[in-house]
Amino acid sequence: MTDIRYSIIRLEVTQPGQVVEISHKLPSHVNRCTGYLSRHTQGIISGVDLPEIGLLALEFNSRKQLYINDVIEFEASPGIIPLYRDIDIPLINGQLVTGYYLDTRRVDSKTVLNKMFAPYKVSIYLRCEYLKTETDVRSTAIHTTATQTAKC
Amino acid sequence: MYDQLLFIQQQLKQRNVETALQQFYRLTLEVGVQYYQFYAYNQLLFLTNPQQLPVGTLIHSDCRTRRIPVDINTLQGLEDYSGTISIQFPEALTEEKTIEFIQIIQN
Repeated sequence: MTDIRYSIIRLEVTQPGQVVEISHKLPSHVNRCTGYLSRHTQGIISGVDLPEIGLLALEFNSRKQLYINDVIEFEASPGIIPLYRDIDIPLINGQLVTGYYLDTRRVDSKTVLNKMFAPYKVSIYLRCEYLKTETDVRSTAIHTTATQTAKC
Repeated sequence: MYDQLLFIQQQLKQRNVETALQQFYRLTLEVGVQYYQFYAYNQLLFLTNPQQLPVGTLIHSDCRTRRIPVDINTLQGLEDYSGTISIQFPEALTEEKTIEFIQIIQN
Protein backbone atom coordinates (compact mmCIF):
# COMPACT_ATOMS: atom_id res chain seq x y z
CA MET A 1 0.00 0.00 0.00
CA THR A 2 1.32 3.42 -0.91
CA ASP A 3 0.86 6.64 0.96
CA ILE A 4 1.34 10.16 -0.33
CA ARG A 5 3.46 12.90 1.14
CA TYR A 6 3.59 16.44 -0.18
CA SER A 7 6.77 18.49 -0.06
CA ILE A 8 6.69 22.23 -0.49
CA ILE A 9 9.73 24.23 -1.52
CA ARG A 10 9.27 27.95 -1.00
CA LEU A 11 11.46 30.46 -2.79
CA GLU A 12 11.75 34.15 -2.03
CA VAL A 13 12.87 36.58 -4.71
CA THR A 14 14.06 39.89 -3.33
CA GLN A 15 15.90 41.47 -6.27
CA PRO A 16 15.20 41.76 -9.99
CA GLY A 17 17.16 39.21 -11.98
CA GLN A 18 17.97 37.22 -8.85
CA VAL A 19 19.11 33.61 -9.00
CA VAL A 20 17.65 31.58 -6.15
CA GLU A 21 19.38 28.28 -5.61
CA ILE A 22 17.36 25.29 -4.54
CA SER A 23 18.72 22.58 -2.30
CA HIS A 24 15.96 20.65 -0.62
CA LYS A 25 16.23 17.32 1.12
CA LEU A 26 13.25 15.07 0.68
CA PRO A 27 12.21 12.77 3.53
CA SER A 28 14.23 9.59 3.27
CA HIS A 29 11.22 7.26 3.27
CA VAL A 30 9.64 8.57 0.06
CA ASN A 31 10.63 6.55 -2.96
CA ARG A 32 8.83 8.07 -5.91
CA CYS A 33 7.69 11.51 -7.01
CA THR A 34 4.47 11.40 -8.98
CA GLY A 35 3.38 15.02 -9.28
CA TYR A 36 4.70 18.51 -9.54
CA LEU A 37 3.24 21.98 -9.41
CA SER A 38 4.87 25.40 -9.25
CA ARG A 39 3.32 28.82 -9.03
CA HIS A 40 3.64 32.36 -7.77
CA THR A 41 2.08 32.50 -4.33
CA GLN A 42 2.67 35.95 -2.91
CA GLY A 43 4.02 39.41 -3.69
CA ILE A 44 3.32 40.45 -7.26
CA ILE A 45 0.43 42.83 -7.72
CA SER A 46 -0.64 43.30 -11.31
CA GLY A 47 -3.93 43.70 -13.12
CA VAL A 48 -2.77 41.64 -16.07
CA ASP A 49 -1.41 38.16 -16.49
CA LEU A 50 2.35 37.91 -16.92
CA PRO A 51 3.27 34.95 -19.12
CA GLU A 52 6.77 34.70 -17.66
CA ILE A 53 8.15 35.93 -14.38
CA GLY A 54 10.90 33.37 -14.02
CA LEU A 55 12.54 30.14 -15.06
CA LEU A 56 12.77 27.05 -12.90
CA ALA A 57 15.00 23.99 -13.11
CA LEU A 58 14.81 21.00 -10.80
CA GLU A 59 17.15 18.05 -10.56
CA PHE A 60 16.47 14.98 -8.49
CA ASN A 61 18.59 12.41 -6.66
CA SER A 62 21.44 14.82 -5.87
CA ARG A 63 22.03 16.07 -9.39
CA LYS A 64 21.85 12.70 -11.05
CA GLN A 65 18.82 13.57 -13.17
CA LEU A 66 17.53 16.82 -14.58
CA TYR A 67 13.80 16.39 -14.83
CA ILE A 68 12.06 19.73 -14.84
CA ASN A 69 12.60 22.96 -16.74
CA ASP A 70 9.62 25.23 -16.46
CA VAL A 71 8.42 28.77 -17.00
CA ILE A 72 6.68 30.38 -14.05
CA GLU A 73 3.82 32.72 -14.88
CA PHE A 74 1.71 35.13 -12.91
CA GLU A 75 -2.07 34.96 -13.03
CA ALA A 76 -3.82 38.19 -12.13
CA SER A 77 -7.01 36.43 -11.11
CA PRO A 78 -6.31 32.76 -10.50
CA GLY A 79 -9.45 30.77 -11.10
CA ILE A 80 -9.50 27.04 -10.65
CA ILE A 81 -6.84 25.36 -8.57
CA PRO A 82 -4.24 24.04 -11.02
CA LEU A 83 -3.70 20.32 -11.26
CA TYR A 84 -0.46 18.58 -10.48
CA ARG A 85 1.53 17.66 -13.54
CA ASP A 86 2.22 13.96 -13.64
CA ILE A 87 5.83 12.92 -13.30
CA ASP A 88 7.31 9.57 -12.42
CA ILE A 89 10.67 9.89 -10.75
CA PRO A 90 12.13 7.05 -8.73
CA LEU A 91 13.94 8.47 -5.73
CA ILE A 92 17.06 7.33 -3.99
CA ASN A 93 16.61 7.58 -0.22
CA GLY A 94 17.53 10.85 1.40
CA GLN A 95 18.90 12.64 -1.64
CA LEU A 96 18.64 16.29 -2.56
CA VAL A 97 16.33 18.07 -4.94
CA THR A 98 18.45 20.83 -6.41
CA GLY A 99 18.10 23.49 -9.06
CA TYR A 100 17.47 27.17 -9.44
CA TYR A 101 14.87 29.83 -9.99
CA LEU A 102 15.84 32.78 -12.15
CA ASP A 103 13.78 35.96 -12.07
CA THR A 104 13.43 37.13 -15.68
CA ARG A 105 11.33 40.23 -15.26
CA ARG A 106 14.18 42.70 -15.68
CA VAL A 107 14.66 42.24 -19.41
CA ASP A 108 12.51 45.10 -20.69
CA SER A 109 13.58 48.10 -18.72
CA LYS A 110 15.99 47.74 -15.84
CA THR A 111 15.56 51.17 -14.34
CA VAL A 112 11.77 51.23 -14.42
CA LEU A 113 11.50 47.70 -13.05
CA ASN A 114 14.03 48.32 -10.28
CA LYS A 115 11.79 51.07 -8.91
CA MET A 116 8.66 48.97 -9.27
CA PHE A 117 10.11 45.69 -8.06
CA ALA A 118 8.56 44.13 -4.99
CA PRO A 119 9.75 40.89 -3.40
CA TYR A 120 7.62 37.88 -4.18
CA LYS A 121 7.40 34.19 -3.43
CA VAL A 122 7.19 31.13 -5.62
CA SER A 123 6.21 27.73 -4.27
CA ILE A 124 7.02 24.34 -5.68
CA TYR A 125 4.81 21.45 -4.63
CA LEU A 126 6.04 17.89 -5.00
CA ARG A 127 3.73 14.93 -4.61
CA CYS A 128 5.71 11.90 -3.53
CA GLU A 129 4.80 8.35 -2.57
CA TYR A 130 6.16 5.82 -0.19
CA LEU A 131 5.35 2.20 0.42
CA LYS A 132 3.45 1.87 3.65
CA THR A 133 4.26 -1.18 5.71
CA GLU A 134 2.49 -2.66 8.69
CA THR A 135 5.29 -1.61 10.99
CA ASP A 136 4.62 2.09 10.32
CA VAL A 137 3.23 3.67 13.46
CA ARG A 138 1.82 7.14 13.80
CA SER A 139 3.70 9.33 16.24
CA THR A 140 0.49 10.08 18.15
CA ALA A 141 0.12 6.39 18.79
CA ILE A 142 3.64 6.24 20.21
CA HIS A 143 2.91 9.10 22.59
CA THR A 144 -0.32 7.49 23.69
CA THR A 145 1.48 4.27 24.50
CA ALA A 146 4.22 6.13 26.34
CA THR A 147 1.64 8.00 28.37
CA GLN A 148 -0.15 4.80 29.24
CA THR A 149 3.11 3.21 30.31
CA ALA A 150 3.90 6.16 32.54
CA LYS A 151 0.48 5.87 34.18
CA CYS A 152 1.10 2.20 34.94
CA MET B 1 44.02 25.43 -3.57
CA TYR B 2 42.02 22.29 -4.11
CA ASP B 3 42.59 20.07 -7.10
CA GLN B 4 39.97 20.96 -9.70
CA LEU B 5 40.42 17.78 -11.69
CA LEU B 6 40.03 15.64 -8.58
CA PHE B 7 36.87 17.56 -7.71
CA ILE B 8 35.47 16.92 -11.19
CA GLN B 9 36.29 13.23 -11.04
CA GLN B 10 34.56 12.92 -7.69
CA GLN B 11 31.52 14.80 -8.98
CA LEU B 12 31.23 12.52 -11.99
CA LYS B 13 31.58 9.43 -9.85
CA GLN B 14 28.95 10.64 -7.36
CA ARG B 15 26.54 11.47 -10.16
CA ASN B 16 27.16 8.20 -12.04
CA VAL B 17 28.37 10.03 -15.15
CA GLU B 18 30.43 7.93 -17.49
CA THR B 19 32.95 9.98 -19.40
CA ALA B 20 33.72 9.48 -23.07
CA LEU B 21 36.11 12.40 -23.31
CA GLN B 22 37.50 15.14 -21.10
CA GLN B 23 39.10 18.16 -22.72
CA PHE B 24 39.35 21.94 -22.59
CA TYR B 25 36.76 23.95 -24.48
CA ARG B 26 37.48 27.60 -25.17
CA LEU B 27 34.98 30.13 -26.35
CA THR B 28 36.21 33.47 -27.66
CA LEU B 29 33.71 36.32 -27.71
CA GLU B 30 34.45 39.40 -29.75
CA VAL B 31 34.11 43.08 -28.99
CA GLY B 32 30.48 44.24 -29.04
CA VAL B 33 28.96 40.92 -27.93
CA GLN B 34 26.46 41.23 -25.10
CA TYR B 35 24.58 37.97 -25.45
CA TYR B 36 25.80 34.61 -26.68
CA GLN B 37 24.05 31.27 -26.77
CA PHE B 38 25.37 27.82 -27.58
CA TYR B 39 24.47 24.20 -26.99
CA ALA B 40 26.05 21.55 -24.80
CA TYR B 41 23.72 18.59 -24.68
CA ASN B 42 24.94 15.25 -23.31
CA GLN B 43 27.94 16.98 -21.91
CA LEU B 44 29.00 19.00 -18.88
CA LEU B 45 31.00 22.21 -19.11
CA PHE B 46 32.86 23.21 -15.96
CA LEU B 47 33.67 26.92 -16.07
CA THR B 48 37.30 27.41 -15.05
CA ASN B 49 37.82 31.15 -15.35
CA PRO B 50 34.77 32.99 -13.98
CA GLN B 51 37.16 35.63 -12.57
CA GLN B 52 37.68 36.87 -16.13
CA LEU B 53 34.00 37.68 -16.57
CA PRO B 54 32.52 41.07 -15.70
CA VAL B 55 30.60 41.30 -12.42
CA GLY B 56 26.90 40.85 -13.12
CA THR B 57 27.37 38.48 -16.05
CA LEU B 58 24.62 35.88 -16.15
CA ILE B 59 25.49 32.34 -17.23
CA HIS B 60 22.33 30.39 -17.73
CA SER B 61 21.88 26.73 -18.61
CA ASP B 62 19.29 24.00 -18.29
CA CYS B 63 20.66 22.71 -15.00
CA ARG B 64 22.40 25.66 -13.39
CA THR B 65 22.54 29.41 -13.56
CA ARG B 66 24.95 31.86 -12.01
CA ARG B 67 25.30 35.61 -11.86
CA ILE B 68 28.95 36.58 -11.36
CA PRO B 69 29.16 38.18 -7.89
CA VAL B 70 31.33 41.11 -6.81
CA ASP B 71 33.57 38.88 -4.69
CA ILE B 72 34.20 36.30 -7.41
CA ASN B 73 37.99 36.59 -6.95
CA THR B 74 37.74 35.10 -3.47
CA LEU B 75 35.74 32.07 -4.61
CA GLN B 76 37.14 28.75 -5.77
CA GLY B 77 34.01 26.84 -6.71
CA LEU B 78 33.85 25.02 -10.00
CA GLU B 79 30.40 24.77 -11.51
CA ASP B 80 29.05 22.86 -14.44
CA TYR B 81 26.58 23.90 -17.12
CA SER B 82 24.69 21.75 -19.57
CA GLY B 83 22.03 21.92 -22.27
CA THR B 84 21.31 25.29 -23.83
CA ILE B 85 23.84 27.70 -22.37
CA SER B 86 23.55 31.45 -22.66
CA ILE B 87 25.93 34.13 -21.48
CA GLN B 88 24.59 37.61 -20.93
CA PHE B 89 27.00 40.42 -20.13
CA PRO B 90 25.80 43.53 -18.29
CA GLU B 91 27.23 45.69 -21.09
CA ALA B 92 28.52 44.94 -24.57
CA LEU B 93 32.12 43.72 -24.45
CA THR B 94 34.76 46.38 -24.99
CA GLU B 95 37.53 43.81 -25.32
CA GLU B 96 37.75 40.25 -26.53
CA LYS B 97 37.00 37.62 -23.87
CA THR B 98 37.97 33.97 -23.81
CA ILE B 99 35.88 31.76 -21.61
CA GLU B 100 37.37 28.43 -20.72
CA PHE B 101 35.57 25.26 -19.72
CA ILE B 102 36.57 21.71 -18.92
CA GLN B 103 34.31 19.77 -21.23
CA ILE B 104 33.04 16.35 -20.21
CA ILE B 105 31.43 14.40 -23.01
CA GLN B 106 29.07 11.81 -21.56
CA ASN B 107 28.73 8.28 -22.80
